[in-house]
Amino acid sequence: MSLVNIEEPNKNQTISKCLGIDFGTTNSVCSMKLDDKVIFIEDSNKKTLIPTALLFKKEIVVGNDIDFKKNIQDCVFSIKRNFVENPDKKMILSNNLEMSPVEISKEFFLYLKKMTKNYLKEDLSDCVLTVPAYFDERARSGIMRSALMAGFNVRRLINEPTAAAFAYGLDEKKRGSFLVYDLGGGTFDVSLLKLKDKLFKVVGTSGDANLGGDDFDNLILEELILKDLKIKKEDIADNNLKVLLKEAKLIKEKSQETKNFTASLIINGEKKEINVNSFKIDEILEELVEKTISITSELLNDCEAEINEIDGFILVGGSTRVKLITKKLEEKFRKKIFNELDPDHVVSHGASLHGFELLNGSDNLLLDVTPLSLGIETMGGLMEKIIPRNSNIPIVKEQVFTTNENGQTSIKISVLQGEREISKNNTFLGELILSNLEPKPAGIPRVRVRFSLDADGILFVSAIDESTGNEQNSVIKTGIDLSVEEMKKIVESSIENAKEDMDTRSLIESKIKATRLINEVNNAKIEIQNLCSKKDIEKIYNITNMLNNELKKNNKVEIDNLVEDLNEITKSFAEKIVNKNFKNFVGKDIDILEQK
Amino acid sequence: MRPNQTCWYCQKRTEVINFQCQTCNKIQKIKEANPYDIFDTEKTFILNFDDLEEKFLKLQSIFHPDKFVNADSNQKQISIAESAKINNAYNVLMNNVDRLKVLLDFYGFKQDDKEGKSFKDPDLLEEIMDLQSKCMSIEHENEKQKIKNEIKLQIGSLENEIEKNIKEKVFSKAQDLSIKLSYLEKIRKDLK
Repeated sequence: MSLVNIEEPNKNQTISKCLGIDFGTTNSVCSMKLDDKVIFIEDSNKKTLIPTALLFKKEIVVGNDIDFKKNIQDCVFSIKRNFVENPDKKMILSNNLEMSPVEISKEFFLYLKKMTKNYLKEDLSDCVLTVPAYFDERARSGIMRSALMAGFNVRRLINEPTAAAFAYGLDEKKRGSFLVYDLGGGTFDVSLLKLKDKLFKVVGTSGDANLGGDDFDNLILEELILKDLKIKKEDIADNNLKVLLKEAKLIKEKSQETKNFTASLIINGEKKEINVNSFKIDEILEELVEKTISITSELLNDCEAEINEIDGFILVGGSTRVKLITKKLEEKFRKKIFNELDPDHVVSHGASLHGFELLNGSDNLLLDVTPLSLGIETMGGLMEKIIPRNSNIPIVKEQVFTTNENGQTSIKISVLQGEREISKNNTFLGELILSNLEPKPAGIPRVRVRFSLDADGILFVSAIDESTGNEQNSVIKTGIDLSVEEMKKIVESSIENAKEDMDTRSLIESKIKATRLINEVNNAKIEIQNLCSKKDIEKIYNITNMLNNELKKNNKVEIDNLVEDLNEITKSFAEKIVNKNFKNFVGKDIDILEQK
Repeated sequence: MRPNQTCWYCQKRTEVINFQCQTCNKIQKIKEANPYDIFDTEKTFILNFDDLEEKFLKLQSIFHPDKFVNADSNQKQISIAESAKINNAYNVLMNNVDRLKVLLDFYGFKQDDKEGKSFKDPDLLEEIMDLQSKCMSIEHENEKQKIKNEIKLQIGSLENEIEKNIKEKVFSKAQDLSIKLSYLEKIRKDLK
């Protein structure tokens, strides 16, 4: 037998680089692990803390490139907060531009990508992106879509406190049970983690997706500035309010260092002065800080953990610089408090460490949970939980549904997220419609629905009609836009095969546009059958098929051409739909028409 | 681990070590369905949870999707499904009531699946109601701690009794005890 030479594995393998992106409410940070250390990406102003702010002028100006003194009233700030309400709801910007939070943030991610390229002299697409642990499915997938649209290949979405704990565990060698208290500009997260050798396990997580430093600033504006000057909030112009909020933030920051000082501000064109006392500031902020403390206590209860099992607190997020927080935590829990790693940079730091391990392999295991229960609406408007909060992810649960009327051929299921019993008090994620069931007596059809939360915490739903075996993959969509799954495919395929000099970004845009159009055509199948000529129907499906094939390749010109062809041929059909809708109105009272 | 199974990918009869096909290196699915078998654990009611956690982590470090970021989509799918299966099985075994159900199922004992499992035993009903009203009227932290410890002890002795019943294969008795167990667990959980 001859000796076989076996090379040491990984020896000559090149190291894959992966960006860690902390997309924050106030500031964002990008970093990357390189040769055993984490480097933070600097912008052209040599700053690593990038204000999450955009200015839509002739060109889009972002971050530290904005002249805030001149333009503050026209800037878009804290866009991350808008993801909580609805990531796809259009907002009107100062120059009458209409954009959704997803679209605005896409521009921000494009800036981060360019900034990274300038700094590293290398185009990086792979990234680990962080999100607040307490963000729901909609907000989470919305942020992910923004990054994907900007051409980032999001290899994993991780929770901000988890990322911070990972950095503390790996680089500060922390071991034991810790509560990560993460107060950012817009969100509060608290997570209980166990850090062991090679194991980083989230036991439970809680928080408030609408509580952060911005709310502190708002309270200082209302309870200190406006009260002192006896001015009503509604008497101040929106632009002025934006400036005043920034002043309130400065007052908050200064009061952490200085006991008494005078601040001067301009309100409605008049110069005013107010006296600030740090005790007064603490008094104003106390209520919000107490709220975070009680959320923390509740989390301990939920996890059935006693405070004496906890080794300490890890402070994360710029807003933890408010000293009242440390004071209150010490008073209430009497535990050590750690903040060795910069609270503004630690989340990105942890994300880049995790990104490196994902792409290059590691013995470390990071286990996270889902922050909110997932369920469906049952009769009577109640929510039935299917996946309880703090379940380890990934998780898959199945439930069988049936009809309640004879001959019913479809079932509609509302998917919800939250902890409340009444379904309308929870977040409505979307509807799942199971159609094409064979008409049968009530209660006979059996449709098995599978809810699956992947390791990114993103939800996928699929359904199988048990009698026919028909499978429907029903990704719950937040609106008209593509799902995370569809977008991920587009980005992966575009980057995978892209030639060095090719503009991946515009290719991705073309592909997104094409996929949207195909989805529209698929959704309108019945209308097309009814309204178009046989010749047109054939043409529409031919082009759709060709387009589907092209999407697997990377020929932007070909994709654009086919999209144009498809648009052209469906244009007449769109007109027909309008006509048909109009016909539906004919003969009805004008009142009814107006109500519609 | 079965030394000889057919790999879903290369279709060869092959040796599988740590769920990896030794011919083509692709990850293999977990064949076991029973949570006890997934963790290769003896079918007793009382478990060594440290031991179980260790086995859980060992399996997750093989199957967790983080380990398959660069893998092909088939392996990614297997990783998500199996990692979720491991999580589910772990949750079942960590829960007293669910675990007992799995055991009774395994021994072929038919369980009346009616929710609520009406009290056959009026004494038990009274006992539970007493405990519930006691919990409702807690005023001091000390009092709460006292009741908490009391319930803990009760659950502990129930666990021993159930373990004994299972060993002696008196399943109907174990099932009766599970009613009390589930109420106690619920009271304990609500006691915050």
